[in-house]
Amino acid sequence: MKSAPEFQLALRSAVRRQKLRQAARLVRAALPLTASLAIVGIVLALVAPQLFAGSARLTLLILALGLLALLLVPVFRSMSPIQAAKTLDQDLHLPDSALAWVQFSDSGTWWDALRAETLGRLRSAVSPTLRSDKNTLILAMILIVTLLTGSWIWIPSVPQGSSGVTMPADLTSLDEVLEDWSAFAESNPNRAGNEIKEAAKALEVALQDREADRSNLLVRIATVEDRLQANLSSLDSLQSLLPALAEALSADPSQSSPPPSASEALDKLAAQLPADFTPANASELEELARQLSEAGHTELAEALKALAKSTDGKQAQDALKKLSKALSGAEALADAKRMMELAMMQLAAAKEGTGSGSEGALSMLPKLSDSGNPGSGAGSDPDFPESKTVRALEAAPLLAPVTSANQSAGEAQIQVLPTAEGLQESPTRAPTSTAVSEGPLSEEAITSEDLPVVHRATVRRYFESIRPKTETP
Amino acid sequence: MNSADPSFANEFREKIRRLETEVGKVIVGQDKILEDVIIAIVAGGHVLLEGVPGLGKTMLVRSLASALDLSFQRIQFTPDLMPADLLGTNILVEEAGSHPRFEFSPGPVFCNLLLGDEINRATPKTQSALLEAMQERSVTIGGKTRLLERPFFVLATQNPLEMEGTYPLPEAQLDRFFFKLRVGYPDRTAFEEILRRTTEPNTTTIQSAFNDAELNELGDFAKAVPVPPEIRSRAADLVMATHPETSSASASVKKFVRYGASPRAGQALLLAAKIRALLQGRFHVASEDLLAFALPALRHRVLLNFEAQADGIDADVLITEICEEKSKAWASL
Repeated sequence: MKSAPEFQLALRSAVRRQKLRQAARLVRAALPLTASLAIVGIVLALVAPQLFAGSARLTLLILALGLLALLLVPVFRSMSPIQAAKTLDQDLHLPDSALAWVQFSDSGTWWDALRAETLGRLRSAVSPTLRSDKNTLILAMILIVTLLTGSWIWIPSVPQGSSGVTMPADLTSLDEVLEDWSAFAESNPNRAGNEIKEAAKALEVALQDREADRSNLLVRIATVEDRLQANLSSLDSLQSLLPALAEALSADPSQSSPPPSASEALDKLAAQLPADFTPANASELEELARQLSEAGHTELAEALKALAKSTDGKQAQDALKKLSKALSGAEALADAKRMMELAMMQLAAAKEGTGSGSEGALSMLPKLSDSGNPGSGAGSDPDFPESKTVRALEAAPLLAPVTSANQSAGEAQIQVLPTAEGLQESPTRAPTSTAVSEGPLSEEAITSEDLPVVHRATVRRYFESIRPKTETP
Repeated sequence: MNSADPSFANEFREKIRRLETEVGKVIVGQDKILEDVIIAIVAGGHVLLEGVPGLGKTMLVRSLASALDLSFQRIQFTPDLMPADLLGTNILVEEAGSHPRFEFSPGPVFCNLLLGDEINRATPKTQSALLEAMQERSVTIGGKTRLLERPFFVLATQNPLEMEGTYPLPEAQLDRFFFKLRVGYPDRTAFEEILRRTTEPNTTTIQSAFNDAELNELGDFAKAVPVPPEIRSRAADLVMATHPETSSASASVKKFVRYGASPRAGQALLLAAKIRALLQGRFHVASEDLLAFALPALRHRVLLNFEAQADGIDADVLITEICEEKSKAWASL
């Protein structure tokens, strides 16, 4: 008797409406608090971004999610039959008819009369659909606005580990970066290699533990790049010493077309050395070795020393091979620097989220794993030349003195080539001076570009992180 | 008729409406008072009507008696009225050929409907003579208890203005009144109608709506109306809210109330609520029924302290406040 479908349906409907009403009431009550939190968050993000970073962001996000969960509690809370009956009575303006229904025993003539009376009232009651829809609409709108506002304010600040959508693409690229670094470190068991290896390991741990966000990754990569920059600056001295090396080797400078790399040139040169070859100027080579040793290139220095002390072609070949190997390590150092620059550009592009999102931005850039494949994929992008080209370009000043060989004579002829045009030309101004002038440009770009206000500080930090720390005198 | 048969509800309503119609032929502008009096009578309760002179209190009671075809007695309460004048007494009867003997001469209380006009003018001693009659429906005189007729109602009136020479009703007697109704002035339309009816030849006669047996039947039927436990709990809640010593009492009640309402208040609330539910076409009692009778059932049972009297606080104010609080509390889930 009591399970009249009409009554049960009305009861369930009333319960649903009541839950929505309670949730809407809570949302309305929590609006001032939520708005205050949002304002505080925006102000912090704009005024004091350093206070609005790291674990503070996560804490605030957890608070926001907790608040949201609190608002949804009434929706999932069960109601007793008496409460449901009261709700139905209130919704349909019934004089406690539903309450009497659920509290009466379902027998006797009075129950029959009450049942008929209540069902009659239910049928003639004004439908509260309009009120219910209004509440539902208010609740839905408030929730949507809250979520949108929250995602704009909080979600970009979350460590990427908590986002399961965009992180895998970033991780893939970063994994490739780390693989390249590891390969470089294994092929170069020197100090620079060890530093790269340690940096790669630290980054890998940070990525696995998801303890670092994009900004932290950028800073870490920039730090490693600074170390590499310091190492490469020492290579400049090697570059200035190579003419002396060429002169010391007394090679025939008739070869005009440079080979793709210094190490390959040296390998080729070693193969062409006559059996009775002795260095023409051993003392200059030893001086060169000393200078390289002081610059930290112990492997190169050892190879040069061995070359200076060679007494026949066989020893000279071995020494040249060692020199070639050491040079390839130095070139890899340049490659690593380039890789890190590309990684930073990738991360910066992904961070900005331009175009169709971070993944789209990443796809615009060359894949680091493709850097060793000339002419393939993104390596053909003129803005991001392939690694081989980069290697050749960077090695060009090194190669010019040592790679010219007289093919017809069958004897290595070392010649210092005149300074070439274009890419082989020495830079007209130092990189650091460019970076100094880059400051105002970057600031102008930050203000002129359509960047979210809360992200400007991040972009500014990125520019600062990639700027060299020392100025050219 | 089976009193537990809900199909009697229509007849119940019909009879009550008929009674209202008959009394309404004479009484104008006092519909709410009339309805409350009828409800109290159907519930078997006594009514204390309070109002300034000339508002038709006595006429209302007379008309009811006529419409109900009940035996009616009217007593004008005065300071020198004695209990024997009210209840009756044993008088010595001497008849020829026999010994003198005492014979009971019943007082005006032996009737169905007793109108105690200006009841507060009698001394407490006389007023107290009605206590047994009102509660037990019996009187004890000379060691012998005599039952009163059924039904028996006391409809008393009192004037709130002339307080000199009056004796406030004792709490015990006040508590025995089912309702205390305050008769107010009629509105302008009703007033004009009163002027018309009382200043022109009037041939209106009141017909009997139903007799005493039917009245008892109506009362029994009303008692059968079921009350949901939650509503019963609310009735108790309402009465308990007038008790200053309870934790649920409001600050005003604690400050101004000396004694709260008795259990008779709860009984009156529920009985009246049942009759109202039937009159409204319902087969169960609702919260609104309780609230509708909170004032007439509680106002004379809530005893205010001196501070309330000094501040001019009326029981109605406190009860209205309680009703508003409880109404909100019941509405909240």
